[in-house]
Amino acid sequence: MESTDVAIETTQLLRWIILFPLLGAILNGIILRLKSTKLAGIVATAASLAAFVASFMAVTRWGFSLEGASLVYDQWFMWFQSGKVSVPFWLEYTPISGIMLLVVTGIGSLIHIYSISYMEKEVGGYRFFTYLNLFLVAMLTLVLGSNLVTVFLGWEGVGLCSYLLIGYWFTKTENAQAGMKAFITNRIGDLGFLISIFLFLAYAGTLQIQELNHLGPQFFSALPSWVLPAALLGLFWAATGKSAQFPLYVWLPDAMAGPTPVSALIHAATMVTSGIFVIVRVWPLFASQPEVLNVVFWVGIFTAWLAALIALTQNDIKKVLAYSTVSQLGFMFTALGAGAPEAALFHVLTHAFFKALLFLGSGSVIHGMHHEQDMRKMGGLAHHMKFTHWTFVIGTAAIIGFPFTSGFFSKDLILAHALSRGMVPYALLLTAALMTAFYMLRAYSMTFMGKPRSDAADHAHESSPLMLIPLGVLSIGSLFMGWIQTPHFMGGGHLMETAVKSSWGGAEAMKPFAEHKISVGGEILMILAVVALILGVAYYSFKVYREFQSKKFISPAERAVGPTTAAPFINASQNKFFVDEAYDLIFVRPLRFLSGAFFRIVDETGINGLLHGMRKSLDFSSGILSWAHTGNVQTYAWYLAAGAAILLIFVGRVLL
Amino acid sequence: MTALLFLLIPTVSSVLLLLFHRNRVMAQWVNLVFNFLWAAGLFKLWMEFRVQPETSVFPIWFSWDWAPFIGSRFSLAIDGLNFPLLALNVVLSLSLAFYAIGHEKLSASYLALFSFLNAASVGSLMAADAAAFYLFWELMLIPMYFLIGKWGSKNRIYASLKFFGFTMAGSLLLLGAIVYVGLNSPSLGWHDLKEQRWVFDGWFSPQALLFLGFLAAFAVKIPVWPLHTWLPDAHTEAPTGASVILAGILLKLGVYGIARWCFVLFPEASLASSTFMMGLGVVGVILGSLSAMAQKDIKRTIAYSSVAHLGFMVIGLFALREESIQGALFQNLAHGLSTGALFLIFGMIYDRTHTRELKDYGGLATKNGVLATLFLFSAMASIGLPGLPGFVGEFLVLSGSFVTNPWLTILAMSGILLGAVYMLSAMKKILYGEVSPTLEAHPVVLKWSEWMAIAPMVVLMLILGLMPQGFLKLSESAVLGMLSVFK
Repeated sequence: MESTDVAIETTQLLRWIILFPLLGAILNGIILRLKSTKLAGIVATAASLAAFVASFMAVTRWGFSLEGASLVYDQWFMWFQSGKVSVPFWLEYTPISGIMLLVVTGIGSLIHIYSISYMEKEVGGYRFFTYLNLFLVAMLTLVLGSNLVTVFLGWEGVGLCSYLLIGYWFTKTENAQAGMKAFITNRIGDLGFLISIFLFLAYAGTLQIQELNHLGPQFFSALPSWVLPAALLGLFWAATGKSAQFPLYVWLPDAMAGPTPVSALIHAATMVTSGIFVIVRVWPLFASQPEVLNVVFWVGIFTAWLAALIALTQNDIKKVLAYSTVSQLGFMFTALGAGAPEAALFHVLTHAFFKALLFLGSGSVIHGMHHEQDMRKMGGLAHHMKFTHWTFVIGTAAIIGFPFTSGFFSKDLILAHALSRGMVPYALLLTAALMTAFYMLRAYSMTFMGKPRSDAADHAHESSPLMLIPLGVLSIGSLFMGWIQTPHFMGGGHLMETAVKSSWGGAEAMKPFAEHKISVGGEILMILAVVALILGVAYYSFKVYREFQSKKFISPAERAVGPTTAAPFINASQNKFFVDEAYDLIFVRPLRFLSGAFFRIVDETGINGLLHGMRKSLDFSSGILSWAHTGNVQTYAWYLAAGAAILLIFVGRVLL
Repeated sequence: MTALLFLLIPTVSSVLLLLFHRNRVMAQWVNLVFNFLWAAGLFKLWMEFRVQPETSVFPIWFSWDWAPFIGSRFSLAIDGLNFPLLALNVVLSLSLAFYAIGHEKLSASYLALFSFLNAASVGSLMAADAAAFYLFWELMLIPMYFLIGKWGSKNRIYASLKFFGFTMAGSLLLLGAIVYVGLNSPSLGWHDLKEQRWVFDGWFSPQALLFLGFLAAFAVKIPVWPLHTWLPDAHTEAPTGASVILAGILLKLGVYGIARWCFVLFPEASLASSTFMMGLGVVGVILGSLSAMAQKDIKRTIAYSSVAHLGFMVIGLFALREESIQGALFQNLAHGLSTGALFLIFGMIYDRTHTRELKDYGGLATKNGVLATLFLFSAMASIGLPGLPGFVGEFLVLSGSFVTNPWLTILAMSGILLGAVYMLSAMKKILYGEVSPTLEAHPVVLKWSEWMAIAPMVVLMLILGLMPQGFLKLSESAVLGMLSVFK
């Protein structure tokens, strides 16, 4: 560390947070390989809980606000170093890492517990729990890594686990295909991460995150003006991959091919938020670049909007939740773009609870319906699955921002920031929030209200306590987690702000936070208006879809503009606006064509053609010498040796 | 003496193995014993290498005045540049010795040729004299030619001739350069040649032509685009063991040769060709990856992936920075292990199914989960997943070359993406989906000796990926010494 005013505290606690799940993965995957999935699940859960305890100890020791300008490092070992490149494998505790640690290991443990029951019928389920533990290892490395390369190790590591878990049921080619799509789409993003790393290395000479934060904008202003924006855009590009933003979001909906606990843990609560987390880690740099933040802001808004629009018409319950996740991640990026990292991270936290709850709830439904995910075949489940139903209600309330649930606080904070950036972004984001209310109530009503629309729905059964307990815990979080960061006029907590502010090792961010410029009266008014609108839309959707019967049902769009006018929109939304098809046409097919063309034209026709041509002409002209062409390598070897000897002797005699 | 001993073990074993030409099984076990002996030799080498002062430049371990009339001494030297490759050679050879146990086709003569190949490759790695180097360099050709030509698959004759032709063409230019160099220098010893400064003023000056002569041989071996078309044929037709050694050691000798001979002897020419060679590296990365995507034959896909990976190494070498060269040398080890493992594992599958066509495969993960996991592990190591060794190599190469030439580096980075595309597509087809009729008919159940063959590679990949620092330290002073010629 260059500046001397920074106190460094060293510890060996942090490595244990990673080592416990690693031990779990090794035990399950290599040593025990238990026949009983249940036992394997217990081993994995124990590993995850141990990581939770270690995280908890870390958080109680250093808390959510590091005094003054101190840094906490676990200086584990030197990963690799050569020339200018120095990559120590150090772990670092910052308050925001503390929050993420609790989320990852806490919600992670709940999902492990849930999975014990969810996966119990699985043969060879130890593989599942190995991957799940391995995911924790990678995710915690991402959270704790002290430099961009160790973060990148975690970053690609979670990608690998995501790939393995999406394709967990690999006998179906579609699942394997979805896993591959996730991996490759993320790699497109990761190239940005690497370019960013190389730029920082070449121009700043360090990859330690806190050193970069300390160098700060002043240092970079002495460099060519494009360096810092390019490096930050590289990071953001990577974030659009991992955190499923436009244009790289396309893998996330397909990722629903994985088992539902995976969707809850990786594709909702933790991994997909790592893009936001990494940006907050280097926030002092981002804060100095308004143009970059502007890009982040608009990409966030556009994604929030587009994904919500697609979610309106999906019939697969997991697809609705997947697009909802993309949309909510868009909210978080909007907050970042508006200069409010605390709001973004706050939404990461609340979203982790209510989205994990919703996914696990849908998992409980899918489990009860014997792997049926189509909501058109559900209905009336409120009677059969009372506990699941009520927790789903809580999750839905939280995600739409029902007053005083967790989502209410975080979403209104983001909306206030959007409003201070102008009416247009605010209107767009508000529409996205209203669409959220609509599609969530649609999903809720189609699933739980009305009459059962299939035999499976008629005979659905409530899940086991092992699955319901996590639902209960997450419900409590979804209800009350919001109070840690309340609007200023309410007094209350402001934990996120404190945590975010003291996470840069005392580095000064030029503009740490954009204070939203809304007056207290205005804010109250805005909140009331938003709540009224949301509840209105929610009630409307509830009323319409409560009566959903697949045959004679008329959707609200059709009611509003008539069936024929609405059809194109419904069709486009149901087909995800043909983005996948467009990518296929623009990127995949040309690439496939190019690869074949290059191979045939350059290698086969060009180089090999030339060679064969040469050989033929040689054969023709050397017909006389063909007696020497014995085709026997030994003879050739003798020629070679003899030739070499003659050459050496001859040249030597002549010249010396 | 230890260096000579290390060279003699495979030489002697190659002769002794011929005595067992009537008893295949016996030969296979004797071969295994000799490989353990060789590993012991490596250990002794390591104990002595460890205490060698870091400042010594390519210290000579053994020297014999065998040809004073041409100013050549048979001298063997070991430093941080070649020691890791010697170790890799032993590891791969030991793996293959386990693989050979109980294999019906791998007779005494096959194993003898293999030992001979090992002797030639470690000989050219240790040679500190241009004539000795050339001798070993040529000696590698002969066993390889027979291994492909006799034990290869259907198109083996074409492949072995193509291999021979390409390599021979490169070697002749090397020979010419060595003769010229020898006549204009007090001796052919590396240390003497290093002190010579050949005139460099334009691409027809002596240094430039000599540089090109040496480079020709190494560029064919690596292979640098567009001299690569022998590789897919040779790799594909070669028997498993030859593929492993070809990818693991022979290609690496090209990289090593450039670092050891071209850079040190001809620094000005090397520097002048830097951008051009980096450009060829980039073309190799991109066209190699694209061609790998277009293949329907699994071994061909892996072979083209080698072209792409070696392209990264060429970029790293010619970026001429400490971290990039270290990266290229580390990538040597990483690629040797990961691609070696890919060829080895696929070889075991091929032994049962006798087809290399991608379309014949599917659902291996259902049939043999552990093998599928290891296959995927090797593929992930090959595409540079962080935590596995390929990442460290690629990362160091690219972070160094980014300083030298950012635009070429960015172009080369497309290889990181394309690598994931072709490798994961192949993995998806082989491992996942329904079990294919071929795999249904030919169950892939491995013997203990085959597991023993894969295990050391996998363990080493983990060690190299997570704790690469020790290996980088090994070659650090040698690389710094080498780079000092550019100052």
